[in-house]
Amino acid sequence: MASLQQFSLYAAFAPSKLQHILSILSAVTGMRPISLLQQHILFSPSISGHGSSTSVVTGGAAVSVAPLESSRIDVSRDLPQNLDEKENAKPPEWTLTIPTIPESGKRPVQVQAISKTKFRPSEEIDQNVDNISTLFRFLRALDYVYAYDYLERGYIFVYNGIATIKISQISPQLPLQLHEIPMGGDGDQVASTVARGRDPDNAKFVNTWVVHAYVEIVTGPETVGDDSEKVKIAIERLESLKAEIGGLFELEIPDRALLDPRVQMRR
Amino acid sequence: MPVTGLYVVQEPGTIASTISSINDKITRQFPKVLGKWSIEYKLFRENPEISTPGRQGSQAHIDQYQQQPQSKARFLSQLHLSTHDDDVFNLIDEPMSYSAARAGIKSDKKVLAVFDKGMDSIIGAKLQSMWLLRQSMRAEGHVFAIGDSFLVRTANVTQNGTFKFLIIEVEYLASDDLDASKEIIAGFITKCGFPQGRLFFGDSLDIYREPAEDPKKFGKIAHCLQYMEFFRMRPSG
Repeated sequence: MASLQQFSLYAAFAPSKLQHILSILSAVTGMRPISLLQQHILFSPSISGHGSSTSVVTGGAAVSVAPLESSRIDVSRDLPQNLDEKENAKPPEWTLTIPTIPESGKRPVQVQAISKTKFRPSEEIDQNVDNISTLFRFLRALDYVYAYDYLERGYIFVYNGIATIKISQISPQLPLQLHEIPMGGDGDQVASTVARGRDPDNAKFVNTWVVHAYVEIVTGPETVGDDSEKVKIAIERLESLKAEIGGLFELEIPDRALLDPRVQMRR
Repeated sequence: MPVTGLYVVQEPGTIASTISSINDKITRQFPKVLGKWSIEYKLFRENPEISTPGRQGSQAHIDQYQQQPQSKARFLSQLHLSTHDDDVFNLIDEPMSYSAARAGIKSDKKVLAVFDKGMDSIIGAKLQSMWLLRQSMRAEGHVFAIGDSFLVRTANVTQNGTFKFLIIEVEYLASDDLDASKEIIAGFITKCGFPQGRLFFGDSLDIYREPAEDPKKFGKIAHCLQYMEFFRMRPSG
Protein backbone atom coordinates (compact mmCIF):
# COMPACT_ATOMS: atom_id res chain seq x y z
CA MET A 1 0.00 0.00 0.00
CA ALA A 2 1.27 3.40 -0.90
CA SER A 3 1.97 5.72 1.99
CA LEU A 4 2.57 9.43 2.25
CA GLN A 5 5.75 10.54 4.00
CA GLN A 6 6.30 14.11 5.03
CA PHE A 7 9.83 15.44 5.55
CA SER A 8 9.81 18.70 7.49
CA LEU A 9 11.72 21.44 9.22
CA TYR A 10 10.21 24.17 11.36
CA ALA A 11 10.97 27.69 12.52
CA ALA A 12 9.14 30.56 14.21
CA PHE A 13 9.42 34.36 14.14
CA ALA A 14 7.78 37.49 15.52
CA PRO A 15 5.10 39.38 13.52
CA SER A 16 7.36 42.43 13.06
CA LYS A 17 9.56 40.41 10.69
CA LEU A 18 6.73 39.22 8.46
CA GLN A 19 7.00 41.69 5.55
CA HIS A 20 10.76 41.33 5.41
CA ILE A 21 10.54 37.53 5.38
CA LEU A 22 7.80 37.46 2.75
CA SER A 23 9.79 39.63 0.37
CA ILE A 24 12.94 37.57 0.81
CA LEU A 25 11.06 34.30 0.30
CA SER A 26 9.47 35.75 -2.84
CA ALA A 27 12.95 36.43 -4.17
CA VAL A 28 14.29 33.00 -3.19
CA THR A 29 11.36 31.08 -4.68
CA GLY A 30 10.64 33.45 -7.57
CA MET A 31 6.93 33.60 -6.86
CA ARG A 32 4.30 35.68 -5.14
CA PRO A 33 2.98 34.15 -1.92
CA ILE A 34 -0.26 32.16 -2.25
CA SER A 35 -2.51 33.16 0.61
CA LEU A 36 -4.03 30.54 2.82
CA LEU A 37 -7.07 30.52 5.09
CA GLN A 38 -8.22 27.27 6.61
CA GLN A 39 -10.50 25.92 9.25
CA HIS A 40 -9.36 22.89 11.23
CA ILE A 41 -11.68 20.85 13.42
CA LEU A 42 -10.08 18.18 15.54
CA PHE A 43 -11.92 14.98 16.41
CA SER A 44 -10.89 12.67 19.18
CA PRO A 45 -12.01 9.09 19.87
CA SER A 46 -14.84 9.07 22.38
CA ILE A 47 -13.55 5.93 23.91
CA SER A 48 -12.79 4.49 27.27
CA GLY A 49 -12.04 0.86 27.76
CA HIS A 50 -14.27 -1.35 29.82
CA GLY A 51 -12.95 -4.07 32.06
CA SER A 52 -9.86 -3.36 34.06
CA SER A 53 -7.46 -6.12 33.06
CA THR A 54 -4.44 -5.25 31.02
CA SER A 55 -3.58 -8.85 30.28
CA VAL A 56 -5.43 -11.75 28.74
CA VAL A 57 -5.02 -15.24 30.07
CA THR A 58 -4.39 -17.70 27.27
CA GLY A 59 -3.59 -21.30 28.06
CA GLY A 60 -2.58 -20.46 31.60
CA ALA A 61 -0.06 -17.79 30.65
CA ALA A 62 -0.86 -14.13 31.00
CA VAL A 63 -0.11 -12.24 27.80
CA SER A 64 -0.07 -8.52 27.94
CA VAL A 65 -2.13 -6.85 25.28
CA ALA A 66 -0.85 -3.92 23.28
CA PRO A 67 -2.46 -0.73 24.52
CA LEU A 68 -5.43 0.37 22.53
CA GLU A 69 -4.38 3.55 20.91
CA SER A 70 -5.81 5.80 18.35
CA SER A 71 -5.13 9.16 16.82
CA ARG A 72 -7.01 12.38 16.53
CA ILE A 73 -8.44 13.23 13.13
CA ASP A 74 -7.87 16.69 11.71
CA VAL A 75 -10.79 17.71 9.51
CA SER A 76 -9.94 20.80 7.50
CA ARG A 77 -11.16 22.93 4.64
CA ASP A 78 -10.21 26.08 2.78
CA LEU A 79 -12.29 29.10 3.70
CA PRO A 80 -13.32 31.74 1.15
CA GLN A 81 -10.84 34.62 1.39
CA ASN A 82 -12.51 37.55 -0.27
CA LEU A 83 -15.94 38.86 -1.09
CA ASP A 84 -15.91 37.36 -4.56
CA GLU A 85 -15.14 33.87 -3.25
CA LYS A 86 -17.75 34.25 -0.51
CA GLU A 87 -20.46 35.14 -3.00
CA ASN A 88 -19.63 32.36 -5.42
CA ALA A 89 -18.87 29.88 -2.71
CA LYS A 90 -18.49 26.33 -3.87
CA PRO A 91 -19.30 23.51 -1.47
CA PRO A 92 -16.24 23.21 0.76
CA GLU A 93 -13.88 20.30 0.28
CA TRP A 94 -13.19 18.62 3.59
CA THR A 95 -9.95 16.74 4.04
CA LEU A 96 -9.35 14.23 6.84
CA THR A 97 -5.76 13.96 8.00
CA ILE A 98 -4.28 11.54 10.51
CA PRO A 99 -0.59 12.10 11.17
CA THR A 100 1.53 9.61 13.08
CA ILE A 101 4.15 10.42 15.66
CA PRO A 102 7.33 11.58 13.88
CA GLU A 103 9.99 8.90 13.45
CA SER A 104 12.87 8.95 15.85
CA GLY A 105 16.31 8.58 14.35
CA LYS A 106 19.29 10.45 13.12
CA ARG A 107 17.91 11.95 9.94
CA PRO A 108 18.64 15.68 9.59
CA VAL A 109 14.91 16.37 9.01
CA GLN A 110 11.72 15.23 10.68
CA VAL A 111 9.95 12.30 9.03
CA GLN A 112 6.27 11.71 9.59
CA ALA A 113 3.83 9.32 7.90
CA ILE A 114 0.50 10.95 7.10
CA SER A 115 -2.83 9.46 6.07
CA LYS A 116 -5.16 11.71 4.13
CA THR A 117 -8.51 11.34 2.51
CA LYS A 118 -10.93 13.74 0.86
CA PHE A 119 -14.61 13.63 1.65
CA ARG A 120 -16.67 13.37 -1.54
CA PRO A 121 -19.98 15.19 -1.47
CA SER A 122 -22.68 13.21 -3.20
CA GLU A 123 -23.55 14.41 -6.68
CA GLU A 124 -27.20 13.63 -6.21
CA ILE A 125 -27.93 16.48 -3.90
CA ASP A 126 -28.35 20.18 -4.28
CA GLN A 127 -24.96 21.79 -4.86
CA ASN A 128 -25.61 24.38 -2.16
CA VAL A 129 -25.81 21.81 0.59
CA ASP A 130 -22.31 21.02 1.72
CA ASN A 131 -22.97 17.52 3.07
CA ILE A 132 -21.56 18.63 6.34
CA SER A 133 -24.00 16.67 8.47
CA THR A 134 -23.27 13.46 6.58
CA LEU A 135 -19.57 13.85 7.30
CA PHE A 136 -20.01 14.66 10.99
CA ARG A 137 -22.59 11.93 11.53
CA PHE A 138 -20.19 9.52 9.93
CA LEU A 139 -17.36 10.59 12.24
CA ARG A 140 -19.72 10.31 15.22
CA ALA A 141 -20.62 6.78 14.15
CA LEU A 142 -16.90 5.98 13.89
CA ASP A 143 -16.80 6.98 17.59
CA TYR A 144 -15.08 10.29 17.00
CA VAL A 145 -16.31 13.45 18.69
CA TYR A 146 -15.46 17.12 18.36
CA ALA A 147 -12.46 18.03 20.51
CA TYR A 148 -11.38 21.56 19.53
CA ASP A 149 -10.97 23.76 16.50
CA TYR A 150 -8.80 26.54 15.17
CA LEU A 151 -8.38 28.80 12.18
CA GLU A 152 -5.13 29.08 10.28
CA ARG A 153 -4.04 31.89 7.97
CA GLY A 154 -0.84 32.48 6.15
CA TYR A 155 1.16 32.17 2.96
CA ILE A 156 2.57 29.38 0.85
CA PHE A 157 5.68 29.32 -1.32
CA VAL A 158 7.04 26.49 -3.43
CA TYR A 159 10.80 26.10 -3.38
CA ASN A 160 12.79 24.26 -6.03
CA GLY A 161 9.80 22.43 -7.46
CA ILE A 162 8.97 20.12 -4.59
CA ALA A 163 9.44 21.81 -1.21
CA THR A 164 6.51 23.74 0.24
CA ILE A 165 7.12 26.59 2.64
CA LYS A 166 4.08 27.39 4.72
CA ILE A 167 4.13 30.47 6.93
CA SER A 168 1.11 30.58 9.15
CA GLN A 169 -0.52 31.86 12.27
CA ILE A 170 -3.27 30.07 14.12
CA SER A 171 -6.29 31.26 16.05
CA PRO A 172 -7.52 28.75 18.63
CA GLN A 173 -11.28 29.06 18.96
CA LEU A 174 -13.14 29.11 22.24
CA PRO A 175 -15.40 26.17 23.00
CA LEU A 176 -19.07 26.78 22.26
CA GLN A 177 -21.07 28.46 24.99
CA LEU A 178 -23.96 26.49 26.38
CA HIS A 179 -26.54 28.64 24.62
CA GLU A 180 -24.83 28.10 21.25
CA ILE A 181 -25.19 24.32 21.33
CA PRO A 182 -28.31 23.21 19.49
CA MET A 183 -30.90 21.37 21.52
CA GLY A 184 -31.36 17.65 21.12
CA GLY A 185 -28.02 17.25 19.39
CA ASP A 186 -26.32 13.89 19.39
CA GLY A 187 -22.77 15.15 19.30
CA ASP A 188 -22.39 15.74 15.61
CA GLN A 189 -24.33 19.00 15.82
CA VAL A 190 -21.65 20.68 17.92
CA ALA A 191 -19.19 20.14 15.07
CA SER A 192 -21.72 21.37 12.51
CA THR A 193 -22.30 24.54 14.51
CA VAL A 194 -18.56 25.11 14.82
CA ALA A 195 -18.00 24.48 11.12
CA ARG A 196 -20.58 27.04 10.09
CA GLY A 197 -20.20 29.62 12.82
CA ARG A 198 -16.52 30.62 13.01
CA ASP A 199 -15.67 34.07 11.76
CA PRO A 200 -12.09 34.50 10.46
CA ASP A 201 -12.51 38.27 10.03
CA ASN A 202 -12.84 38.84 13.76
CA ALA A 203 -10.65 36.01 14.99
CA LYS A 204 -7.67 36.74 17.24
CA PHE A 205 -4.51 35.12 15.93
CA VAL A 206 -1.59 34.20 18.18
CA ASN A 207 1.40 36.48 18.12
CA THR A 208 3.86 34.11 16.46
CA TRP A 209 4.31 33.02 12.88
CA VAL A 210 5.35 29.44 12.30
CA VAL A 211 7.36 28.33 9.29
CA HIS A 212 6.78 24.77 8.15
CA ALA A 213 8.99 23.71 5.25
CA TYR A 214 8.13 20.27 3.95
CA VAL A 215 8.40 17.81 1.10
CA GLU A 216 5.76 15.12 0.71
CA ILE A 217 6.58 11.92 -1.12
CA VAL A 218 4.51 8.83 -1.80
CA THR A 219 6.34 5.58 -1.18
CA GLY A 220 5.35 1.97 -1.61
CA PRO A 221 5.38 -0.81 -4.18
CA GLU A 222 2.63 0.64 -6.40
CA THR A 223 4.28 4.02 -6.80
CA VAL A 224 6.57 5.37 -9.48
CA GLY A 225 10.29 5.68 -8.78
CA ASP A 226 12.82 4.38 -6.33
CA ASP A 227 11.85 5.01 -2.71
CA SER A 228 15.35 5.59 -1.33
CA GLU A 229 16.09 7.99 -4.17
CA LYS A 230 12.92 9.97 -3.38
CA VAL A 231 13.89 10.16 0.29
CA LYS A 232 17.37 11.33 -0.65
CA ILE A 233 16.03 14.10 -2.89
CA ALA A 234 13.51 15.24 -0.27
CA ILE A 235 16.20 15.59 2.38
CA GLU A 236 18.59 17.32 -0.03
CA ARG A 237 16.01 19.92 -1.03
CA LEU A 238 15.17 20.74 2.58
CA GLU A 239 18.83 21.03 3.51
CA SER A 240 19.57 23.31 0.59
CA LEU A 241 16.59 25.48 1.59
CA LYS A 242 17.88 25.60 5.16
CA ALA A 243 21.33 26.71 3.95
CA GLU A 244 19.92 29.32 1.55
CA ILE A 245 17.77 31.12 4.10
CA GLY A 246 20.11 30.52 7.05
CA GLY A 247 20.34 34.18 8.07
CA LEU A 248 16.60 34.77 7.92
CA PHE A 249 15.48 32.09 10.35
CA GLU A 250 16.89 28.82 11.54
CA LEU A 251 14.96 25.75 10.30
CA GLU A 252 15.04 23.02 12.89
CA ILE A 253 13.55 19.70 13.95
CA PRO A 254 11.01 20.21 16.75
CA ASP A 255 10.56 17.93 19.74
CA ARG A 256 8.77 14.90 18.33
CA ALA A 257 6.62 14.49 21.43
CA LEU A 258 4.93 17.81 20.65
CA LEU A 259 3.68 16.45 17.37
CA ASP A 260 2.35 13.19 18.80
CA PRO A 261 -1.28 12.91 17.66
CA ARG A 262 -2.05 9.75 19.60
CA VAL A 263 -4.74 9.46 22.19
CA GLN A 264 -4.34 6.75 24.78
CA MET A 265 -7.45 4.80 25.55
CA ARG A 266 -8.08 3.49 28.98
CA ARG A 267 -8.85 -0.18 29.29
CA MET B 1 -25.99 7.90 -13.91
CA PRO B 2 -28.12 5.23 -15.57
CA VAL B 3 -29.98 2.87 -13.26
CA THR B 4 -28.67 -0.55 -12.31
CA GLY B 5 -29.98 -3.71 -10.71
CA LEU B 6 -27.90 -6.25 -8.85
CA TYR B 7 -28.71 -9.92 -9.49
CA VAL B 8 -27.12 -12.44 -7.12
CA VAL B 9 -26.95 -16.16 -7.81
CA GLN B 10 -26.19 -18.19 -4.70
CA GLU B 11 -28.47 -21.21 -5.02
CA PRO B 12 -27.04 -24.57 -3.91
CA GLY B 13 -25.17 -26.03 -6.86
CA THR B 14 -23.72 -22.71 -7.97
CA ILE B 15 -20.01 -23.21 -8.51
CA ALA B 16 -17.17 -21.09 -9.81
CA SER B 17 -17.66 -22.39 -13.34
CA THR B 18 -21.37 -21.46 -13.44
CA ILE B 19 -20.21 -18.07 -14.66
CA SER B 20 -19.03 -19.54 -17.97
CA SER B 21 -22.55 -20.74 -18.78
CA ILE B 22 -23.87 -17.28 -17.94
CA ASN B 23 -21.24 -15.62 -20.10
CA ASP B 24 -22.23 -18.09 -22.87
CA LYS B 25 -25.85 -16.97 -22.58
CA ILE B 26 -24.74 -13.35 -22.84
CA THR B 27 -22.55 -14.17 -25.85
CA ARG B 28 -25.63 -15.43 -27.70
CA GLN B 29 -26.92 -11.85 -27.68
CA PHE B 30 -23.85 -10.73 -29.65
CA PRO B 31 -22.45 -8.38 -27.03
CA LYS B 32 -19.43 -6.13 -27.26
CA VAL B 33 -16.88 -6.99 -24.57
CA LEU B 34 -15.91 -3.71 -22.95
CA GLY B 35 -13.23 -4.90 -20.55
CA LYS B 36 -12.90 -5.86 -16.93
CA TRP B 37 -14.44 -4.59 -13.73
CA SER B 38 -13.94 -5.41 -10.08
CA ILE B 39 -15.35 -4.90 -6.62
CA GLU B 40 -13.79 -5.05 -3.20
CA TYR B 41 -15.82 -5.31 -0.01
CA LYS B 42 -14.65 -5.21 3.59
CA LEU B 43 -16.66 -5.59 6.73
CA PHE B 44 -15.45 -4.20 10.06
CA ARG B 45 -16.98 -4.72 13.48
CA GLU B 46 -16.64 -2.40 16.45
CA ASN B 47 -14.06 -3.64 18.91
CA PRO B 48 -15.99 -5.12 21.84
CA GLU B 49 -12.97 -4.49 24.10
CA ILE B 50 -13.61 -0.79 24.16
CA SER B 51 -16.71 1.13 24.84
CA THR B 52 -18.07 4.55 24.20
CA PRO B 53 -21.23 6.39 24.97
CA GLY B 54 -23.51 4.74 22.47
CA ARG B 55 -21.67 1.46 22.78
CA GLN B 56 -21.99 -1.07 25.57
CA GLY B 57 -20.34 1.26 28.05
CA SER B 58 -23.40 3.42 28.16
CA GLN B 59 -25.74 0.50 28.23
CA ALA B 60 -26.22 0.77 31.97
CA HIS B 61 -27.02 4.40 31.42
CA ILE B 62 -29.61 3.64 28.79
CA ASP B 63 -31.10 0.83 30.81
CA GLN B 64 -31.86 3.24 33.59
CA TYR B 65 -34.29 4.84 31.25
CA GLN B 66 -35.39 1.78 29.45
CA GLN B 67 -35.66 -1.50 31.28
CA GLN B 68 -34.55 -3.67 28.39
CA PRO B 69 -31.01 -4.60 27.56
CA GLN B 70 -30.19 -4.36 23.92
CA SER B 71 -26.62 -4.43 22.82
CA LYS B 72 -26.23 -4.88 19.16
CA ALA B 73 -22.79 -4.84 17.62
CA ARG B 74 -22.27 -2.14 15.07
CA PHE B 75 -20.65 -2.73 11.70
CA LEU B 76 -18.84 -0.69 9.10
CA SER B 77 -18.89 -1.79 5.47
CA GLN B 78 -16.40 -0.49 2.98
CA LEU B 79 -16.95 -0.92 -0.73
CA HIS B 80 -14.88 -0.05 -3.74
CA LEU B 81 -16.37 -0.41 -7.22
CA SER B 82 -14.13 -0.04 -10.24
CA THR B 83 -17.05 1.72 -11.95
CA HIS B 84 -16.50 4.64 -9.55
CA ASP B 85 -12.77 4.61 -9.83
CA ASP B 86 -11.41 6.57 -6.91
CA ASP B 87 -14.39 6.42 -4.53
CA VAL B 88 -14.56 4.39 -1.34
CA PHE B 89 -18.07 3.95 0.04
CA ASN B 90 -18.41 3.62 3.79
CA LEU B 91 -21.66 2.49 5.36
CA ILE B 92 -21.76 2.56 9.14
CA ASP B 93 -24.39 1.82 11.77
CA GLU B 94 -25.17 4.90 13.81
CA PRO B 95 -24.84 4.59 17.57
CA MET B 96 -28.03 4.80 19.50
CA SER B 97 -28.56 8.31 20.73
CA TYR B 98 -29.52 9.03 24.31
CA SER B 99 -32.61 10.85 23.20
CA ALA B 100 -33.75 7.95 21.02
CA ALA B 101 -33.02 5.43 23.76
CA ARG B 102 -34.98 7.43 26.28
CA ALA B 103 -37.89 7.74 23.95
CA GLY B 104 -37.76 4.02 23.33
CA ILE B 105 -37.14 4.39 19.62
CA LYS B 106 -35.10 1.59 18.16
CA SER B 107 -32.98 3.30 15.61
CA ASP B 108 -31.00 1.28 13.11
CA LYS B 109 -30.16 4.13 10.82
CA LYS B 110 -26.93 4.05 8.90
CA VAL B 111 -24.74 6.77 7.45
CA LEU B 112 -23.15 6.45 4.05
CA ALA B 113 -20.12 8.63 3.38
CA VAL B 114 -17.92 8.67 0.30
CA PHE B 115 -14.19 9.35 0.49
CA ASP B 116 -11.26 8.90 -1.84
CA LYS B 117 -8.98 5.84 -1.74
CA GLY B 118 -7.07 7.17 1.27
CA MET B 119 -9.97 6.08 3.52
CA ASP B 120 -9.04 2.48 2.87
CA SER B 121 -5.83 2.73 4.88
CA ILE B 122 -7.35 5.02 7.50
CA ILE B 123 -9.95 2.46 8.57
CA GLY B 124 -7.70 -0.54 7.96
CA ALA B 125 -4.60 0.78 9.68
CA LYS B 126 -5.19 3.93 11.70
CA LEU B 127 -8.46 2.88 13.28
CA GLN B 128 -7.65 -0.79 13.57
CA SER B 129 -7.85 -0.83 17.33
CA MET B 130 -11.42 0.50 17.17
CA TRP B 131 -12.72 -1.34 14.11
CA LEU B 132 -11.75 -4.96 13.53
CA LEU B 133 -11.68 -6.45 10.04
CA ARG B 134 -14.06 -9.41 9.96
CA GLN B 135 -14.59 -10.17 6.30
CA SER B 136 -12.97 -9.32 3.02
CA MET B 137 -14.42 -10.17 -0.38
CA ARG B 138 -13.27 -9.56 -3.91
CA ALA B 139 -14.71 -10.02 -7.37
CA GLU B 140 -13.35 -9.57 -10.84
CA GLY B 141 -15.17 -10.11 -14.10
CA HIS B 142 -16.12 -8.83 -17.53
CA VAL B 143 -18.33 -6.03 -18.83
CA PHE B 144 -20.55 -6.62 -21.87
CA ALA B 145 -22.60 -4.14 -23.86
CA ILE B 146 -25.81 -5.65 -25.22
CA GLY B 147 -27.50 -3.53 -27.84
CA ASP B 148 -27.66 0.18 -27.14
CA SER B 149 -29.46 0.05 -23.84
CA PHE B 150 -27.85 -2.54 -21.55
CA LEU B 151 -24.48 -3.07 -19.91
CA VAL B 152 -24.02 -6.38 -18.12
CA ARG B 153 -21.26 -7.05 -15.62
CA THR B 154 -20.62 -10.56 -14.35
CA ALA B 155 -18.19 -11.72 -11.68
CA ASN B 156 -17.44 -14.49 -9.20
CA VAL B 157 -17.21 -13.26 -5.63
CA THR B 158 -14.50 -14.87 -3.54
CA GLN B 159 -13.60 -14.72 0.11
CA ASN B 160 -9.94 -15.53 0.80
CA GLY B 161 -9.76 -17.13 -2.63
CA THR B 162 -12.79 -19.40 -2.05
CA PHE B 163 -15.79 -19.06 -4.36
CA LYS B 164 -18.89 -17.76 -2.56
CA PHE B 165 -21.51 -16.70 -5.12
CA LEU B 166 -21.81 -14.88 -8.40
CA ILE B 167 -23.17 -11.48 -9.20
CA ILE B 168 -24.60 -9.96 -12.35
CA GLU B 169 -25.08 -6.22 -12.56
CA VAL B 170 -27.48 -4.99 -15.21
CA GLU B 171 -27.19 -1.34 -16.17
CA TYR B 172 -30.08 0.13 -18.13
CA LEU B 173 -28.62 3.06 -20.04
CA ALA B 174 -31.88 4.69 -21.09
CA SER B 175 -33.08 5.94 -17.71
CA ASP B 176 -32.05 7.43 -14.38
CA ASP B 177 -35.39 6.77 -12.70
CA LEU B 178 -35.08 3.60 -10.68
CA ASP B 179 -38.75 2.96 -9.91
CA ALA B 180 -39.71 3.21 -13.57
CA SER B 181 -36.93 0.88 -14.67
CA LYS B 182 -37.21 -1.99 -12.20
CA GLU B 183 -39.54 -3.99 -14.43
CA ILE B 184 -37.41 -3.46 -17.50
CA ILE B 185 -34.32 -4.75 -15.67
CA ALA B 186 -36.21 -7.74 -14.23
CA GLY B 187 -37.61 -8.48 -17.71
CA PHE B 188 -34.16 -8.35 -19.24
CA ILE B 189 -32.83 -10.87 -16.69
CA THR B 190 -35.71 -13.27 -17.41
CA LYS B 191 -35.12 -12.91 -21.14
CA CYS B 192 -31.43 -13.78 -20.77
CA GLY B 193 -32.36 -16.99 -18.93
CA PHE B 194 -29.93 -16.58 -16.03
CA PRO B 195 -30.08 -19.19 -13.23
CA GLN B 196 -32.38 -18.69 -10.22
CA GLY B 197 -31.29 -15.68 -8.18
CA ARG B 198 -32.41 -12.56 -6.37
CA LEU B 199 -32.56 -8.96 -7.50
CA PHE B 200 -31.47 -6.07 -5.31
CA PHE B 201 -32.41 -2.46 -5.92
CA GLY B 202 -31.06 -1.07 -2.66
CA ASP B 203 -34.27 0.64 -1.54
CA SER B 204 -34.76 -1.19 1.74
CA LEU B 205 -31.75 0.28 3.54
CA ASP B 206 -32.62 2.97 6.02
CA ILE B 207 -29.79 5.44 5.61
CA TYR B 208 -29.40 8.98 6.83
CA ARG B 209 -29.82 11.45 3.97
CA GLU B 210 -29.28 15.17 3.74
CA PRO B 211 -32.64 16.94 3.89
CA ALA B 212 -32.23 18.40 0.40
CA GLU B 213 -31.46 15.08 -1.19
CA ASP B 214 -33.77 14.06 -3.98
CA PRO B 215 -34.12 10.30 -3.79
CA LYS B 216 -35.69 10.06 -7.23
CA LYS B 217 -32.54 10.52 -9.22
CA PHE B 218 -30.25 7.53 -9.50
CA GLY B 219 -26.61 8.18 -8.67
CA LYS B 220 -23.51 6.53 -7.31
CA ILE B 221 -24.88 6.42 -3.76
CA ALA B 222 -27.97 4.52 -4.91
CA HIS B 223 -25.74 2.27 -7.01
CA CYS B 224 -23.55 1.44 -4.03
CA LEU B 225 -26.59 0.83 -1.80
CA GLN B 226 -27.63 -2.10 -3.98
CA TYR B 227 -24.38 -3.86 -3.09
CA MET B 228 -24.59 -2.81 0.55
CA GLU B 229 -28.16 -4.09 0.78
CA PHE B 230 -27.09 -7.49 -0.42
CA PHE B 231 -23.84 -7.77 1.58
CA ARG B 232 -25.50 -6.53 4.76
CA MET B 233 -28.36 -9.07 4.64
CA ARG B 234 -25.88 -11.92 4.72
CA PRO B 235 -25.84 -13.66 8.13
CA SER B 236 -22.44 -12.31 9.12
CA GLY B 237 -23.58 -8.76 8.84
